[in-house]
Amino acid sequence: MQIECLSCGRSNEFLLPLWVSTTFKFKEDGTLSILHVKPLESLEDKLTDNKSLREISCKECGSNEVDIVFNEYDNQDDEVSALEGL
Amino acid sequence: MQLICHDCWNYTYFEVDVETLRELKADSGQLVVKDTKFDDFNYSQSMLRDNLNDIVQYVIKQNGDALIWDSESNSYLNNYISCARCGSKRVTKPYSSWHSNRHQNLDKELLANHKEFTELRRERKYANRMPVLWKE
Repeated sequence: MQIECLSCGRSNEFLLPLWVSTTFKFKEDGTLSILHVKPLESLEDKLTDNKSLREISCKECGSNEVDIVFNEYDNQDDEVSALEGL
Repeated sequence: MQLICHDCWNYTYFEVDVETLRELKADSGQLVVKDTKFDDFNYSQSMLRDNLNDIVQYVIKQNGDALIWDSESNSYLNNYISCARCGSKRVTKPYSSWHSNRHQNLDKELLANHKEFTELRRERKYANRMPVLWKE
């Protein structure tokens, strides 16, 4: 798998917003303390869903023009050679 | 006590949905997911805490605006925060700041503070006309 920024092409680090359910409590001094954090969205679903693709942004330049390549092998020969290498 | 559940009277534990940020890094065909950091500053954790605090403070301040009318249960439900004990969304502030006896009549209050206000204004009027003690 590869993620590529189409804008700067340099970074391999990307940011993805995710909704989480947070359980918290009020402490005696009125401040908040977090007890539990549960993800509400599947990371895999967001990566494979084309609608959510725009939410991914490049950490380096902030661009939303991101391309995700799930199969890193361009042709079958490369895949075969990689498997043989393993 | 800042919020209370009207079903189980819990006033300590609550749940809220907030948005946070994760960092993706594709490295040699593998996807690494972790907190995002900028110069050792954990932005993911900071964003989670800030968003949580923002929503809670908003609900406490705009109590009525955070409620939506539910015709099925015939009651107001909190649009953001739910009770972590029973799951109910009937969560509000434990009291209303809108009650008729909170403030006295404004005319009476102005009259009672009239002397203090006059002294305050006099102080400002003569502030630059203090007697000069060491006149050359």
